[in-house]
Amino acid sequence: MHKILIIEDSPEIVILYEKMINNYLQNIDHINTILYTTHELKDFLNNEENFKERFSLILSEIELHGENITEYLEVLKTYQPKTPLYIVSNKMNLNSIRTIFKIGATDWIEKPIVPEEFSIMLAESVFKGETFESRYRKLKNELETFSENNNLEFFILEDKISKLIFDNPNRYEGHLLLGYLYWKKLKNLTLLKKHYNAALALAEGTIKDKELQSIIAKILEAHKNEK
Amino acid sequence: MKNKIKYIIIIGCGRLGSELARRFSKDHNVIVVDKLPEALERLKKYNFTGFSMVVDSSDIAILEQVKAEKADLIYIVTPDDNLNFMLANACNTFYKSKNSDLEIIARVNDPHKKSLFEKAGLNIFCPIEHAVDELVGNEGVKSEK
Repeated sequence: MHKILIIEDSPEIVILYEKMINNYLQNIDHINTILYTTHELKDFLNNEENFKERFSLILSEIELHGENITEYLEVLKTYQPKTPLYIVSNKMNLNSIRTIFKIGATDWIEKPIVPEEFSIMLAESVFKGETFESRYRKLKNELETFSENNNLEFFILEDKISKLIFDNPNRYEGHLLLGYLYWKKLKNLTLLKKHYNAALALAEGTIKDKELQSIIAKILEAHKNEK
Repeated sequence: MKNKIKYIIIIGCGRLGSELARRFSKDHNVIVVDKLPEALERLKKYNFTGFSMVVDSSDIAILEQVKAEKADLIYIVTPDDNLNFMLANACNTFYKSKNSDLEIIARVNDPHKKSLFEKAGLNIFCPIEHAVDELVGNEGVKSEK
């Protein structure tokens, strides 16, 4: 599921963006989140639930109702470091252009954004990156087929899972994978416990991948008396 | 199958311009420009979706601002025939040569000036002639390449 965040104060433009997104992503699951005011943006940033899943694209104005929102976009970018941020605005000057690139914006497009520019933007964001779910499934498959005797494979997999955690610091799934990897390769119960507890804390008790959870729970149960 | 969303520029937001904007904005990416902010206010009543811009339409730089080189269709429908001629001719010269699919349609308010537009090879729409022809039962829209 691709998540797209639109920050724009003009409803007429938001409807146009949605129309273009729906047209280009007809066969792709996606959900749009729209923020019209600075107040909504602040509330959005204050709710960590909003960042449990990575956004595929952020499309933003630089001003909402006359108020510059660069500082909020900077915070947003720290929560979503890997998400492409496109500024679509004609209220830019040399300083604001410099600032938005400093905070990590991918590009600045002057309004009106035309269909060609819009499709390029989607191609470089939604169609480029994998979704969290697909990355998780892929890594889980790799972990299942991974050979415990192969050191190189272990380091590569450890690196990939660490990247998944780094890109999605609020998601618990990466910790389940990493803990289980340490158990499979190193038989390290402490690391398995640590990562499992981190996953439980981030998931607030509800882990969706019951299969992997039950495997880990069984290991912990079997070794509960060990230090 | 994706529908091709066209990029349509409408210069002039009077009754004709705003009606065109309303119709086209249902399925396409439309930008409407006018020098009067009050004229663009009309769009709000029409459930228009898209871009609107207050710019001096007598300045040829407007064509750069609205990204005319990327357009599929340009309607020039201000009440000023001289301005419509200047803008349509500029679009024809600058952009039609690069993009043969581009369609430029200019409004001619005074039927006596129609021949000038036609000599310049512009596609025109003449509301007065159209109305008269409707009344006498002929086709009112002329399109000359």
